Amino acid sequence: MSYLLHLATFFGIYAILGVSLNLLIGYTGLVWIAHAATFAVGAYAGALFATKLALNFFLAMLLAMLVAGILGSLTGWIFSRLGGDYYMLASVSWNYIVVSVLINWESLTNGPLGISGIPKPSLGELSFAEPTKFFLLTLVLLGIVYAAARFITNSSFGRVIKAIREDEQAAKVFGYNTLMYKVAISGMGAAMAGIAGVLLASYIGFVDPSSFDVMESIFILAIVVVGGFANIRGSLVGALALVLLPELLRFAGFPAEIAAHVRLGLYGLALILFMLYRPQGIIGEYKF
Amino acid sequence: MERMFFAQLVANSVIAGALYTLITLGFNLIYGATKFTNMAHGAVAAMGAYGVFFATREGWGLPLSIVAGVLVAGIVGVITDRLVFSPLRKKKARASVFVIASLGIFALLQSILSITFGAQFWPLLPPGTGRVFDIAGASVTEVQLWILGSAVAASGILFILLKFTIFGKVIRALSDDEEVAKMLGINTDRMIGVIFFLGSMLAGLAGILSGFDTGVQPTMGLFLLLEGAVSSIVGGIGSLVGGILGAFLLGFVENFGIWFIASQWKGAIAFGLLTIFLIFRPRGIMGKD
Amino acid sequence: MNSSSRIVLGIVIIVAVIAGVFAFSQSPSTSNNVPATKNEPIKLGFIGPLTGDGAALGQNARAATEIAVAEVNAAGGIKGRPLEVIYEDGKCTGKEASNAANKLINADNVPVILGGLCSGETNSFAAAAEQAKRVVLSFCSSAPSITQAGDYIFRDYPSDLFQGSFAAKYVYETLGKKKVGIVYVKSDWGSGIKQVFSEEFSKLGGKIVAEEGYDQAARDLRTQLTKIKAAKPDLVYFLGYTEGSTVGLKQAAELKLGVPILGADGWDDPKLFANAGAAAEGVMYTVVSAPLSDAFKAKMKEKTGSEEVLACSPGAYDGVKILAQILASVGTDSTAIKDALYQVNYVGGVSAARVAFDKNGDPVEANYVVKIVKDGKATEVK
Repeated sequence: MSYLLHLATFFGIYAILGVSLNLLIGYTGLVWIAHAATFAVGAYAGALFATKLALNFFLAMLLAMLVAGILGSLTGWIFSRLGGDYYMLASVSWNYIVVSVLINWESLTNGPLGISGIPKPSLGELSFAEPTKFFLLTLVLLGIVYAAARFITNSSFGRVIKAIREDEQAAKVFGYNTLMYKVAISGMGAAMAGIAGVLLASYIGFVDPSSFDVMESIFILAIVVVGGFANIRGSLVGALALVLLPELLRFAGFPAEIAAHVRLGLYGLALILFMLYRPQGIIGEYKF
Repeated sequence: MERMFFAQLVANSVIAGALYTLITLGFNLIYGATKFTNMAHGAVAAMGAYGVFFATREGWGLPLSIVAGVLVAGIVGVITDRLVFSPLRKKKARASVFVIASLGIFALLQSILSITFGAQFWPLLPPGTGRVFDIAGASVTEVQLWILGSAVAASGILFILLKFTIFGKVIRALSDDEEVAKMLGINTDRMIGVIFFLGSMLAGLAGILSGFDTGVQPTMGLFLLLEGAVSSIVGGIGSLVGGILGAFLLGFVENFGIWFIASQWKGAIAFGLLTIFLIFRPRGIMGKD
Repeated sequence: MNSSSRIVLGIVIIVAVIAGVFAFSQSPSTSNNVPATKNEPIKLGFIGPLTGDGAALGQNARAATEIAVAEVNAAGGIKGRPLEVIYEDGKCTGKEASNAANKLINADNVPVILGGLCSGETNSFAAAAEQAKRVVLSFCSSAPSITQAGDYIFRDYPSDLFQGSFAAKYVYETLGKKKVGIVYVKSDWGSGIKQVFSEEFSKLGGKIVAEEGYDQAARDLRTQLTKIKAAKPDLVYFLGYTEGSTVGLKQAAELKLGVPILGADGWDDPKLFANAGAAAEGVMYTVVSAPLSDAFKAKMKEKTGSEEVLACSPGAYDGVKILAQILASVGTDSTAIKDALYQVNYVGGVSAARVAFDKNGDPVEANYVVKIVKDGKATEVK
């Protein structure tokens, strides 16, 4: 039972990541292969606020969202002027830079040693340390993110970003400041990823740079691809599929050493197969 | 800065530039024909290196192993084109689809290497192989000279191929405008396959030489690819000469940069350079507007 | 709302309701007693690198652990119950180790974790174990920071406060070198020793002419080595794990560094000397000196096929024996185990003449030797 809860919590965290990335890739057409870096910024910001400044978890989370959101807007502003391939490459290089900073700016981040002793959430007398309560908290936050994402995509703002995905030139001709829209969605997606980051940091109690490399960004991308672009529910399905998949492997009896690699291979295969045969993902309707 | 140290930095820069040149040549070749950033290119390079690893372990002897490694890389490259990119071209998928698929191929290839050979780092040559030369105060190993030589040879051969042979003209026509090339009767799909083969062999060579220089690890592909991609963009995507210039610029900036910054930041320098170029001169040194 | 929306929403609500009922009807779990059925095994967790950096050390420690467990069980187990160890691969990284610890604590419910091996491993889960009131007994983690890690955190391997000072004295007094360049892996262990060594060496009157760090995953140290060479040291203090050191030593030879090289206990790995070949010839390193017994060496040789008992294995072996004694006397409650550990006075072990823990959970004794590598083998410098 407790292991199931563990998986469910991971599902919740990655679902938030999938939904937030989908806003960028699926809805706006920004192929951002650095969501792990955004996630990392949230995780580290939350960890630092909660440990070094001993702030309450929820306050730390709000501040972390702010930090991640601002940084996300900034990178959105710098990078989203670039055309497709360049944006993607810039995002990969950004991921690399962020990890490098996390490893090398030791006075702030403790370098490769990471930050440990990150407390579990609490609100006065109420503590969320117990796994079941933590999972519920995750679910509630997922619900909020989900609702926010639905709201954004169904609004007129959502229509504009979809137009940007389809034909940015046309959107510009119609007078929309497309850059500002891209900056806004980058910031919003980043703030959401920040939530996931703080949750993960608190859940494991430890963060270090190695969890946030380009491979992790590819994993989050796979969640979006498998679930379906431009489909918020799809990202939930994608997260469910990709978090459960390695567990099935465990039962299939793969030895521990190669399990992680088999998992990576399956994510890669999933990306390939979906792009070839089902670009709309499992439950998407939108064909990328 | 002391003269010996300066000479060593120059040597390190030149070798790095040469290695990146090999990657960027293949990368640019493929990009020219297919117009997307093939993220699997680095993994193909790793394949070449592991081809040699496997062959030498089986006792094939160095020259044969190298040939085997280069061929493995070329074949893997063509397979990725036949199985994935060609069908996508036929479906007229948009560029992001290609890129995402190539990311998938990269992850898949890397995991295959990890599963088959294990994730740890292996030197490709037995210790103590090869001489070390002293050139103007800098220590340069035999392998490093091979890297430089290969880069020069590959650039030369490619240049001659593209400029003076019909084959080269076809490639250039294809890169210029695929539609027109088709109209001229060129079987563009098959040609792209050939280009993948060539470009991937170059990647394989780069991977092999990098393996000789330090060693092999399944994750080696990403780093090589990024250096190659940065070189290409900085030099101007689509321009082979630009790619070479970009590669050497990158090599020099990285190695001289660490004189001023702590050496652990070296990896980030490449990406810093890329970011700067992307913001201020996205078309690169030699790129056309 | 269309039908698939409804289904998804429905599932989410049902899951949430079940979980909610479950959560608020249960009191928080503090019990970590293994059900006392007659012959159910008592389980301990083990975390160490079984692959990746330090894998040779990890596998060797695992072998030692298995030998100890077999001996305990052959002598009747823990009051009739067999002892069982669940082995998890920490890969010498914080991320893997903390995941492994989460699993051992939450899913397997072990009262004690034997591990980590690398300091980065131990540091990543010490706080979580402390919060969950589980005992951690590390058999090889030497970072000074672990001393303060918590009431439940113990180690039978000394802190690098000792190794760093020992090395500094050795370099300054015995080897007579006054200018040192340090190349170090940026990990708990590497950064920790570097810190201590720098301070001690400077206090003795020596000078640190260069300090260059590198990522644990880096395989090209030429930049760092070039800068160190330029600073003209009399000796290079190279703090690295197996994989980074293999390349580093080769590159140092290629760059013709030309000065003696001293390493630390991470180098007690035959794979390093085998792969680095001639580049490792003549290098020295400090390592904890363990009394070892002939019986232990013989059993290790039988199990691993090699004469060499690596640095982390004596601590693992003694750790199992000590824990077995404690489990037999106080049972499986982790708090009771913790209290008993502070009272331990174990003699005749293979890792030290006497194993006892100070108020921080650190061992009370620390002895080091210097080994030198000749022809691919490490032998003690007398």
